[in-house]
Amino acid sequence: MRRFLVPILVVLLAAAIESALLPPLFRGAWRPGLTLVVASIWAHLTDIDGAIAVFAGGIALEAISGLPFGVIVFALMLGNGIAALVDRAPLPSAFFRATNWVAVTTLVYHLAIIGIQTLRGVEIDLATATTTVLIPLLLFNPLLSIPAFFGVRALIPRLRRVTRLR
Amino acid sequence: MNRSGNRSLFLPILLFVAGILLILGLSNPGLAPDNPITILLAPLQQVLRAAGNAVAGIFQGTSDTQVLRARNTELEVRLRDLEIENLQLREFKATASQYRSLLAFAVDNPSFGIIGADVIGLGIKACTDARTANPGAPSVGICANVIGSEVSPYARYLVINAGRIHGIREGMAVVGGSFGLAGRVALVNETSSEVLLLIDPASSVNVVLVGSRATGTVVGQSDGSLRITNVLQSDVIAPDDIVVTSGLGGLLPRLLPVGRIDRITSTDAQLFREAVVRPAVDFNRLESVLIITSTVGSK
Repeated sequence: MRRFLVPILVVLLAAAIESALLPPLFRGAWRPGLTLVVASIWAHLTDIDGAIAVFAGGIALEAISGLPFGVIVFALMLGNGIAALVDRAPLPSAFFRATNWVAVTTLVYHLAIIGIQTLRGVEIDLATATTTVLIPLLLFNPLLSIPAFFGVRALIPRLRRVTRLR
Repeated sequence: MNRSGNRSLFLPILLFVAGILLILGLSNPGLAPDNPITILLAPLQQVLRAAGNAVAGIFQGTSDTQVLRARNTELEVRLRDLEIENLQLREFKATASQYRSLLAFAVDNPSFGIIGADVIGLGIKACTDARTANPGAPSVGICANVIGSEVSPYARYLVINAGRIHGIREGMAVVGGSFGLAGRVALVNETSSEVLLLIDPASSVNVVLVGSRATGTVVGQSDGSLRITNVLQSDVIAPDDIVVTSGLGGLLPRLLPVGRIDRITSTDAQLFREAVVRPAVDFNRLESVLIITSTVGSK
């Protein structure tokens, strides 16, 4: 049970940090997608618990976002779903595959939100979004995934060990 | 650790569930379940926001610069107070001019029976903090702290620590800084609310230019700027003219400062005039806001 509960709590904390702690520190158009990175790394390294972490991360972000309900959770799930498909490509190391996973998720997540917002009639300038948000995040989120990868990878065996002892 | 080849179908199943939630959410815009996570996150966000502001403050400079900043802030407040006062006087002047024209019309047409009426509601003076508000003042506000910001770069919302239990309702005007319009309440939870900022691409506010009396609509842009549109070609837009809410539609009170005209972007060939508006509120530095809960004349 702990292997499911801990990732949920971690992504909730990440969402709170992303919404409250990071805005005063990052005042530009983009802000690190901490929840996206943590949830995606979890999904990359595990199976069911990772999928639940991504879903919980999406719901947590929904709770603090003004976008219509369902947009963020869908974009996050779609990003991870496509990242799972791309992950079949033979890459040399698990670490490199993790950063690749986060980069793909970031790209799909943002394109999905832009697409849905455009369908809703909310005009988003794609060129501005690409230069001020997408490109910085495609560089920064994979960088952020490096500590997240090692942190989550160290945590997962402990959670599973506790489950087995029970 | 899992290999990608033998992943279960759990991710696609949850993606399917998310798709259903998305369809439900888009087909029913009012669907925003009173999420228990917001109740859980609100106190955590409050603590983290304070920590974030504190850390940001450390990076902003030494104690000397902080003293200078405090002095600067004080002067900015005085300047904004004077701007507000100036705005009110200019508004009174413009209103008096309109009344003079109406009076002239009435004098020139003695055969007409004429009744005067405002376009909508009553004007609202710049309100002070709710705690010190004059009971006779035409508005009542609730002060709240900003505890969170929008997590998506394609929407501009704030989370504030006042909710349904504090009397907040959807649609209420939210002012910040020197009582400039910051946005309006879009979603109310039990103890927190989400504020749709003026700079959100989905935001649209009816405004009037104090100097030229031209009316238009201020809309948010995806790059976080403000733009005034729907101004008739026959109307005049001048740089530095003050933009205030017109009150048309009845959603927002009249005369809330929105900003100043920065630069005109339209050409004579376009159907309507357009300009970039410099907001009256620094949206990146909003820490406390005031929510206008009622105005005299409103129900």
